[in-house]
Amino acid sequence: MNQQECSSGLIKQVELVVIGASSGGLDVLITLLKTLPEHYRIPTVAVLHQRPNRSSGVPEMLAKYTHLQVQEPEDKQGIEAGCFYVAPPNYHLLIDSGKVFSLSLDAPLNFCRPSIDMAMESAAEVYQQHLVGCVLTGANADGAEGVRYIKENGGYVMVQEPAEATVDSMPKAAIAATEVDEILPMVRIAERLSSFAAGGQS
Amino acid sequence: MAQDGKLDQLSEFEVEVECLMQALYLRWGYDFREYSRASLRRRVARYMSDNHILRPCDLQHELVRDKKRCVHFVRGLTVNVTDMFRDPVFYRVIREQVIPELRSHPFIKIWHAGCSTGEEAYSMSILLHEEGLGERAVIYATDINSQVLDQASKGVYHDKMLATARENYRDAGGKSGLDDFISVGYERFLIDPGLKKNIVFTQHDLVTDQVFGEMQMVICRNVLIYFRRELQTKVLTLFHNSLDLGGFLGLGIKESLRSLPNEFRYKAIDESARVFQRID
Repeated sequence: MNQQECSSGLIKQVELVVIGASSGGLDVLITLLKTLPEHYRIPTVAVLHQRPNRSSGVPEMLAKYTHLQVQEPEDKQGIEAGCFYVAPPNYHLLIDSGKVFSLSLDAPLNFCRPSIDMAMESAAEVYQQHLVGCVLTGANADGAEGVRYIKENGGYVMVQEPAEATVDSMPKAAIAATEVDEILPMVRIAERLSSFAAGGQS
Repeated sequence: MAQDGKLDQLSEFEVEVECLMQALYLRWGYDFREYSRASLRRRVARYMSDNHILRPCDLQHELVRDKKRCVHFVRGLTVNVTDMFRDPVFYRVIREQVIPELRSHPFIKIWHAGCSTGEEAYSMSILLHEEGLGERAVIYATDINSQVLDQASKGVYHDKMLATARENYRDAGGKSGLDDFISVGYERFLIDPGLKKNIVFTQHDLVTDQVFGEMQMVICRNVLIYFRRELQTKVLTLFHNSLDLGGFLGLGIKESLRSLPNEFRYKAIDESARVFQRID
């Protein structure tokens, strides 16, 4: 909202980015990956609602657009720089203490598994103010609780401009849930993330 | 535990959950101290909100005084869900690559740890019967939660699961039709009683209980994900010590052997299906 106030200088060091997307999400993730520069190496987690297929093919597809190593994390895999993680279909993806992923087959939350809220809440618990959360296009309210929790724990939240989103309910729900830091078109979100990466290196 | 500096500093809530788990262990012997923090926290939070409790320390106060409530709480921590032939590729690999090796055994013992409501134990039983091994195989199907075991031994499931079950059965390489092994009616489907004869359902806690001896196969799918790495190591060691040399280990599709002690040797029968063979 107050874009001037919320320059990247306010963030000490970004150690993890969690992105939530649903309907129309694949296209914006491609835009994001195309826009992120070579120096961007912040570990980034994308929670994308997908059909519970056995193998989605999404990581292979996204890998074509980026220098980052795209993968579906396994349980207890360590979180590493230079990686772009895509939540495996039909599991909840949680971030656990010790900077590792934990998977869960708990019931879907608000009809979603993976749940963006669960990923963001668990990440906020571990990464506190070193976490950035982004909510992109989508047709439900998943992610709204998550960004509220991120803000409560001192993290930074960006939401895709609803007018630009393929489906605007998810960004709108996130904006209604908390005082988000910035509302931006996708390309600007990517630029902002890049600036965090530059800051983190210095 | 705190090796990573600032990021391992626990929040107030997490500290209270840790204390709660320590208290339940000391008071009643339930050991959830090494369960994965993130999923434990969620399950505790859900129980608290369902029961209008504000803080884990308030919950602790109640549970150390009330065994019945504690039993109820613990059940909520350990319920897992599953399907018939969940992850069909897993059963296809068992059928095509493990069964041929098992045929050479006069008697086949399988331990299915964390069987929950039993769907996958019955799936294995169906598979063994189709392969003509039903008569000489025993499946020890265990879970920590006695309530899900009661459900498992009944072998009755809601028919909204049936479409998935049939589809999975086909994708798993089923030889006839799932309906040869179940009867359907009254919004339920019932597992053929003949399939139950070689399954022994029994309570077992992977954290506190001992090995099952000389198994040809151990299956434990989507249970290790709820454990921290140290506990995963302990449980994988338990499985190792329960397996015959040359025996098979089957895990969940997103689980791995990364917590396995280095001295244990396994070869992947199928890496993506998470089927391994003990070779040392």
